[in-house]
Amino acid sequence: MILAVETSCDDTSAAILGRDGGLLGHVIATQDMHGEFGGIVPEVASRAQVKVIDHVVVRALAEAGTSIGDVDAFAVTAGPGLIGSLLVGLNWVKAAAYALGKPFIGIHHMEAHLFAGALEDGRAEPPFVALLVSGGHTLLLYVESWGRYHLLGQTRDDAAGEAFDKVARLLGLGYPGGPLIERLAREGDGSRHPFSTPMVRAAQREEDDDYYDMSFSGLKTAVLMRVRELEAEGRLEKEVAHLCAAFQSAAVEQLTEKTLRAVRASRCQRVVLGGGVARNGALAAAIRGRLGREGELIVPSPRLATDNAAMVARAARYRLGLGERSGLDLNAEADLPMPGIV
Amino acid sequence: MVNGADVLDGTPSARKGAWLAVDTSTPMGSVAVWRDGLVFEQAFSILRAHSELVLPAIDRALTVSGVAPGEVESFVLGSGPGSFTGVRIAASLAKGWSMARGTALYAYSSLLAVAAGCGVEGPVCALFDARRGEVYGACYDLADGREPVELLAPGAWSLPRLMDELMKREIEPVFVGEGAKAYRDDIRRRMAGARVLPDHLAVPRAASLLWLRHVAADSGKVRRVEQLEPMYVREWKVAEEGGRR
Repeated sequence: MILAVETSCDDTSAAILGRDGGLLGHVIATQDMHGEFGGIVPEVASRAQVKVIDHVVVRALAEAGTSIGDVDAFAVTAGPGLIGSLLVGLNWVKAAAYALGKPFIGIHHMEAHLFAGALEDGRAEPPFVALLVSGGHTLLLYVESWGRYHLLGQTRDDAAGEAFDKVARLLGLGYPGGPLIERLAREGDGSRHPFSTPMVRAAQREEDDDYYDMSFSGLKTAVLMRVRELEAEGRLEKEVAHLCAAFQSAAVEQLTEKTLRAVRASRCQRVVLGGGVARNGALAAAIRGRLGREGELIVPSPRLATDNAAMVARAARYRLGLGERSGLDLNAEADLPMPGIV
Repeated sequence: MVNGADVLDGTPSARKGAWLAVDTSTPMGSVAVWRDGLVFEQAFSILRAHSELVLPAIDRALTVSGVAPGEVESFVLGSGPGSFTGVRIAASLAKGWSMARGTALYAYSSLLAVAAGCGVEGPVCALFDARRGEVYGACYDLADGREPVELLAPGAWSLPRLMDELMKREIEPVFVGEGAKAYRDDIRRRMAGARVLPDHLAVPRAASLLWLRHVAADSGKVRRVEQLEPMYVREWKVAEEGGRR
């Protein structure tokens, strides 16, 4: 039985994975105070992690109907993420494991996202193309097998979710921006403010270094310029939904086109999404539409798409199965390199 | 790196449960283990991260003391104030340990740990450098073998405001801690004849936390581990950092 803890950002999560790999307990506490600041404040997030971590673990154990003494091994997100938040979970887990004389392992947050789909869908096994899109990361990978990952592309500036949050702030919508923009986009007409799709050109070839990479900063600036024009004309309020639709359309088109390029190059028709932006229905619909009937799109349920400890436990099951263990000197790293990149 | 063994006040007796103390509130972290009247203490510098060094230091201290993790019956925490990240590291360790084993948890201010460790009787003012022109400061009346009396609760102060407060309360303490070291000249200018203790006494020592557990068990006992938070003292001003994304 594995007890995993995830505290890489503003969610505090604990999960219990049974010896047969079944998820026995899973609790996620989401901090709701960041909305008033227009984004996550690292020190506020870190303080909140300390406040709730014991409650979250106790509830996860209760849900699993077990006690901490019955845990065989511990796992914790070691990075990447907000260092202050990471250190809370990391030190909690290290002390608990050491005090009980049990092994523990630090897990890479983005590798854990790759395993999220496998917790609830037997098809989410390698090989597959993975698009991991959240507020902190945007990665396009070909997962040849567990532990062997080809990093094809990543964002060159803002993460996809970050762009949604920033545009939502520009439009005065609040935080987090993704769900708000998606809801308004349904009522809008994107063609009223057409934005070009970043990093996608007609004659782009696989040899080009931006063939798989993504960018959202220019798109955000284009929205800002349009907002200023509309403000000057006194028309902004009436155009917000149309701007949401136009921004989302360009962002989704970029993510979809890059993902389909990976599908074509890898000749792998199975795509797994991960991260908070995976919850965006327009993104899933666009990729599913482009994959066609021969392709498979696997989108984890919302609880497993966003930051959670269940995926950490599942990744730990794989790593512990290889005989890997972390040492007492395990530390958190805000920019921890992903293991298994080939 | 400092290693040392000493005898903690108390009667060595038949082997019984051990105590473990940890403080990572300042750039010099410290762990100590007490068993059968003997203390083993180890310090480590933040030149490498506390988070990387503290558990190996605990492991070494327990091993040298012949104590298995399961034999620790009291975990004693230096709860701050100090580096926000540092105080969270020790608090997270303490919570994880205590929740895993049901170990009794005790928490004391890291400023009190410095004051208690300086060996002075009478009023002692412990200061850490809180940056931004402030110190974390607290004052205690200390006497051998009895629980310290808090004269001024831990807080974040500008030095002039702190010195005014001390004079208003007619406290003429001995000053100790890295904040006292940083503001030595200012302190002496504002309080004629003030004694500032030397640098080697400036660090909060885990062995002092063990002594506090010995003389002040009731006031340090954490009754609800899940409600324990580090002693930040200073509220976080969101405007200084802003939303990250």
